[in-house]
Amino acid sequence: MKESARRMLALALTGALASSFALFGCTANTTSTTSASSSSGAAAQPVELQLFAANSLSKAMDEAQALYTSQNPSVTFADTQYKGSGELNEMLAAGSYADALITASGATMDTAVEKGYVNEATRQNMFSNELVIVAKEDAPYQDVTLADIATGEHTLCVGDDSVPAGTYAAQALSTVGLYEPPADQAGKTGADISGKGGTYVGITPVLQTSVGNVCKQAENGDVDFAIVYSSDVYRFGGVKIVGIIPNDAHKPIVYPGAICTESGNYSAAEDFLQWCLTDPDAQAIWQKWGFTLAE
Amino acid sequence: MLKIRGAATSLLILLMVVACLVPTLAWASEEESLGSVEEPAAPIAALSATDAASVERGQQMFGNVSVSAEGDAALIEGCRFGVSDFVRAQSGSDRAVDGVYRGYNYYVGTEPENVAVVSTGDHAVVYLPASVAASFGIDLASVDDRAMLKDYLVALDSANARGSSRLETVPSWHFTDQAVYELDGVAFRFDEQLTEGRYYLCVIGVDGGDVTAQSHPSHITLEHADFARIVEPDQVVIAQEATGLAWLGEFLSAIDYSPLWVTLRTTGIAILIIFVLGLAAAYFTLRISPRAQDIFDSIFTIPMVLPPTVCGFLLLLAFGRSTALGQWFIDVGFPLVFSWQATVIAAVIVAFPLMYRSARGAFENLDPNMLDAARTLGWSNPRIFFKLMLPLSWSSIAAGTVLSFARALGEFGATLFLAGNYAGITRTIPIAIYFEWMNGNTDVAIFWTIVIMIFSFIVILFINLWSRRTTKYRRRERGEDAGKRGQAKRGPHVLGGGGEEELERGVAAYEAQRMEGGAR
Repeated sequence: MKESARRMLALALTGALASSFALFGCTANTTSTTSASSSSGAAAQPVELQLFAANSLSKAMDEAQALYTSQNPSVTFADTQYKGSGELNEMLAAGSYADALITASGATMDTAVEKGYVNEATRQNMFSNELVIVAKEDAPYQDVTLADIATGEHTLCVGDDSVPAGTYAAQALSTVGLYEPPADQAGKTGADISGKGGTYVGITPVLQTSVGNVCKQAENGDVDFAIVYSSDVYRFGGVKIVGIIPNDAHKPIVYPGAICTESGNYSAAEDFLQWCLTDPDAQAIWQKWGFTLAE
Repeated sequence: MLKIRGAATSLLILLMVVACLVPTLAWASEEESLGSVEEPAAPIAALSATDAASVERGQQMFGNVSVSAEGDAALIEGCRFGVSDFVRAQSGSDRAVDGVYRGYNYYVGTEPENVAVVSTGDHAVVYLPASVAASFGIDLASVDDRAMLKDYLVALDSANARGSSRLETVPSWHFTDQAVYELDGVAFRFDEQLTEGRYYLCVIGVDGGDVTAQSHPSHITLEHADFARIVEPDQVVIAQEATGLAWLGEFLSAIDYSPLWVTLRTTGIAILIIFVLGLAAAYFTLRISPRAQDIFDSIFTIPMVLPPTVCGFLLLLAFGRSTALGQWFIDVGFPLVFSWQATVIAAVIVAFPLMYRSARGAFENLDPNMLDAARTLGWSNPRIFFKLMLPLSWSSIAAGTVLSFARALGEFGATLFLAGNYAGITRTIPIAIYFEWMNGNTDVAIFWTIVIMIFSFIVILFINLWSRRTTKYRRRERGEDAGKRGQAKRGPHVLGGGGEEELERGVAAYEAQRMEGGAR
């Protein structure tokens, strides 16, 4: 009896194993074809680039990639991951593959360089952006300043520590005493703090995991104000700019780009980043979506 | 009878689809009417001096300016010129062009002689090329012509602003037909051909410095710029917004359907694995000592109790790059995380307990006497499993399969953790709903929500129809077959002699009743 029970179990396990092997078999096929295409260096060979880009770039980057593919049919793009820059680093840490990484802050790119995800020599600043206070499109607010938020009469949504827009917002809010940096940066405010690991004082903002979600909270009217990039306003619609945060209240907002160390399409990825920065048609896309090409 | 029921079922499904479609259509047309009422609302206030706006369905009216649905062309009735190819630049570039610093620049296009307007918040500088002004007879000295041009630009700008800065709030307007216009130490250089066949608008300090820098004495904030071409009125195409069915058709053809296929593939493979593993686990736990049973039962059930994010996190920790196991999978070329197998693994882990519990419950409810009887007749365990246990508990197992299928279909947390969001690879419908919403495509998110609601409805309907079938047979059994059951309860000795045939006959009769019950 026991024997046959074991046999049953063995049968079931064999079935499970067989199906999992079938799974691996499928991947084996797909990975071998992609690696075959990626190992070829020649420009005429088809190349598929995998980009990891800051969440705020989503619509503009999709458009740029479509244009690049139409100009260079041999280069196509895998589904680009648009997440909070901190989350992109976590994904790279967990072992996902990318050819190039574009983050929304110097600090997150520093992390990527430190951990060896990207090649530091290829790092360059690509875009700059602006921090603004937004509200639902039909909200009655206008000319809102940080001091207005400091009154504590309004609800606020910002990004969490993994979201660069959230750290910029924390830096800005520290200038009006709404954010207290961690002990090692005590007494500093604005551009002098990292905007991470501290606590909000006097207000309890809603924290979100990407700047897109932050903007959505304002659009839905769940909060009165959200602190996002000016490009997000144009990306989503449904919100309006009610105040601009002074540039000196936070670190300069730059989007560094770099090629990943594990990239198998080094030159193709480099060509694409260069095209983003220099081609006039690409410039037309960035200016349409509100990304200033950095100096 | 079966046919009638089948027809009734399909009619019901059809009705439900229609019921879902009607609100969609209503919602679609509501969206449009909202759009066309809301959009002009602000401009009307601003242009209150001009005509009262007439709001037509599917057409944007800004004062007396009708704007194309795409926001790229506009026409004033009776005006001797129209505007087309309108583009709005939210920001420009502070990079050197071809190695030379030209100031803060906007790329305009490959053709010269565009109308351009730059806004600094306080000032709007409008450039109308002299040649264009001459050929259309526009006189920038005339107040009427200026107002006309301004109306066009404000209307088109508002249609494209989407919550950003608007020209209509700019107090001071400057009009020029000269390619270089200076204002407070800032030079606006229009129609600059910086490279072969590429025209730019450059804003630079008269001293050649960067006026967008805070430190520059003539510092200004450049809010945005607009470019357009002046054309004959009959060349302006005012596209109407699609309405009703046309809108729906356009919308449906633009949707990326890959999440549906990814979901079906993931769920299909997952349910096969879950089915086998669930039955095996249920069978296994029945045959071990009660103490071991408690432990294994807890292990098999825990994914149902844990939040899916915990499952996903643990899986990510187990299979990620930082562990030896994950590194081994990466080394052999099958990275498990962020691949489509990951969606299957996540779905299997999360939905498995449902299958396991249903199967175990069904096996436990079987009459042990029947199993013992089969054993005394020398049936092997596989034979008992396939000929007795499976057929007798089939309805519960099927319900468990459907439930775990539904659970796998809706899996979100663990999948997002382990598999991420790659369109066409790991983006299942639940993940698509979240990310489409997050990326501002609320329509698409609603579409997928409707799809998954219809799907879930069908699944639950299926379970209900199924359980009605099984309960019907039980009701019948309780009434008519009470005698037979009583006999069986008397013990295995009743089955002595030609017991094996009797048992098989019993099962056959049992099955026959079920089929009969089902047909009704």
